[in-house]
Amino acid sequence: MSFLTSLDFWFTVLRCTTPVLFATMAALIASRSGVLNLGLEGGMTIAALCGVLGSGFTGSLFVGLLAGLAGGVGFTMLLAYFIQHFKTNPVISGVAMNLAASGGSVFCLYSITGDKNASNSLASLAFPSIDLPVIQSIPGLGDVLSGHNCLTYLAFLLTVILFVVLRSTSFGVHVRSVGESEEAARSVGISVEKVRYQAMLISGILVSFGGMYLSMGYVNRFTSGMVAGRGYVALATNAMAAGNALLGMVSSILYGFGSALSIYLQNNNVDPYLITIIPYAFIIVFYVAFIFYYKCRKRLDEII
Amino acid sequence: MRKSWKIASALLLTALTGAALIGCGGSSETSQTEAAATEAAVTEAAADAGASAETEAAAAATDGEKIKLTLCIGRKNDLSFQQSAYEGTVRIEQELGDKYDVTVVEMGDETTKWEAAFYDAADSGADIIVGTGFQNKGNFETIPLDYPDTKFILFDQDVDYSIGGLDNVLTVLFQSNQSGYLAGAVAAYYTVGENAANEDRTIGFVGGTESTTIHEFLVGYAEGAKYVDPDIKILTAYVGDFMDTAKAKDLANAQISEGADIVFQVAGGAGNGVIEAAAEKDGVMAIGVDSDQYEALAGSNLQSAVITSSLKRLDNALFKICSDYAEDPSSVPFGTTATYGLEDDAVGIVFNDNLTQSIGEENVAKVEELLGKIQSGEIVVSEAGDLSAEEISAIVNQ
Repeated sequence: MSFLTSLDFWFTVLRCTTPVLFATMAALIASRSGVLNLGLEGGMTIAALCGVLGSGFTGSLFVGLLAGLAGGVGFTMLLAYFIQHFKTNPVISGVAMNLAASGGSVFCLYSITGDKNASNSLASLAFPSIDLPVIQSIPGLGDVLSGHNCLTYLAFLLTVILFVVLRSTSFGVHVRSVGESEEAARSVGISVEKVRYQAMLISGILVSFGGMYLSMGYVNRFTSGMVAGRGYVALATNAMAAGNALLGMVSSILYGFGSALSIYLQNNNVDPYLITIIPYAFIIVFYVAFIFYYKCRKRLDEII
Repeated sequence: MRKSWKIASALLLTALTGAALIGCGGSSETSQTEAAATEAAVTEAAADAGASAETEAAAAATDGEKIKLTLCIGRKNDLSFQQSAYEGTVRIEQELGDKYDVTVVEMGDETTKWEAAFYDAADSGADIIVGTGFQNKGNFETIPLDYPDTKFILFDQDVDYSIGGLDNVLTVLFQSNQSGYLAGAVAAYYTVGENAANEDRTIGFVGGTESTTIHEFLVGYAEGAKYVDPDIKILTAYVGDFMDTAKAKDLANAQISEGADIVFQVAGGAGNGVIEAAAEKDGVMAIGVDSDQYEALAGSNLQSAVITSSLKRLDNALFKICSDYAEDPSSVPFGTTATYGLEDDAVGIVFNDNLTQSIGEENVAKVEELLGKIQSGEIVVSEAGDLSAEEISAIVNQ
């Protein structure tokens, strides 16, 4: 276990955390407004693809960013429209949209580039890595915290912003009240639909960044199935966070830690099948622990 | 107005789901003569239901009627071995087009849908149905029982013949341990050579899942590397699937940070992540798998990081089987497992300028010499199928 003290390992933890952190925040803002956004996986897939196509064909990272955002937001808003306007079951429409994204992304990739498995023929661009000015020179800490992709910093920054917004702005209060009680919110004149669409819009932006981090951040191409369940993991990390963005960050880092562990343990001759389940086992164990903690706290509150 | 919006949206949702089905379910490529041929095959089958498919096929060949060959793969340009199988059918169409009527069905990534695709192929009256990969073990142990007159060929995975009734199934295994051996030798010459990133005699291996098929590569890789230099250390890691590119890249990066300067990826599409990790570090190379990934990545910034690729020539094996079958159906040993290796040109590695530049002409000659020794039987590479997990890890870690 000597790698636990290696700086590379902790660097990997943050890297593995990033896409799940974006997705967790996306799930969080949606669920706080009372919408179950099950389309995270599909949204990430579409954004990952659109970003690669956009930057690959125009040679501009900015266009790639816009295309990725358009793809992810469009996908999420479509899902929101189905749920809000047609009152479809969010689980069924979410799953349907995810399936559409997994097949549709391959279909689009093939029709546009002729590649089916990976966008190898397209020279797409990636977001740059950033060296943090002061922190960079601190030994140890600088090696872990500096030199990440700019999207990694954005993820943590947006998490803090989201925490503040939900807690102390009027928009945040509206979102929370709509999520807590639709009727009560309506009775004081809040437009439930509008707030939910706004929340899903933010959710879509976050999802897009999560997807683009996979295809334009850490890896520099789109591969079919590359989201690999991270959108579903985010539902669990969000459940752990219980609506608190900072707790969501903690639960995402837990997943990132599990993932990094599953990568580094492989060089230590531990059974790979056992290793592969580590991040997921982590999530299950901690989720149960969290639920237990919330229950105890509730009971304590009742006694006092 | 509102109503028409509702209808439009419903249609859109349907279309999206449809797109998913198209993407996953795969499209089928059917030659123009197919419809007519299907009818003919159906009447024929009805007329002499008792006759065996062999006589039927032989008769078909002599009558100028074509043998219907259906290849069912996930997708045909995976830049890997499914693509190789597809190229085999292209060659059959070109060179044996007078004897074979080829249909290629793309079944998509969702393996739960593959069973239905094989049933469809069998029902459409195909004479020979070809599948690839370990995912099809179950399908090829059940479906052939329902279609005793249809021949089934499964590449890269054997079936349990002891369950009986599988006399119409041929399974074809590749001695990927032999190509792995050559890849291991290349890796060893590279890591001890002057182009390598560091002095460490460490090489890496990233597999998709931990299975016998992947272990064949690993065992050969380890033996080949240790033949060149017994002190070489081999790091192994598994992605857990064949899709998670980011994880594959992480695994490769972890191995590189532990001193590996060449990584052999046997992880399908996820393996792109390994090649990318190698391309981003000076002096680190990757070994591709199943098809020539140097060629496949032409024009990409990753190309120069592919030192060589271990080849699984499904095309050569499929072509050989089909040409034998067209000559004389009984010469193909259905009901058994056939093994193809270096002798049949069914496995190998890529020799190109990039390899020569990386390890030098001398060492390329030595690798070629090893190839000859394996072909002549002077060197016998261990087979993972015969080894226990402990024995495999002993070979890798000794």
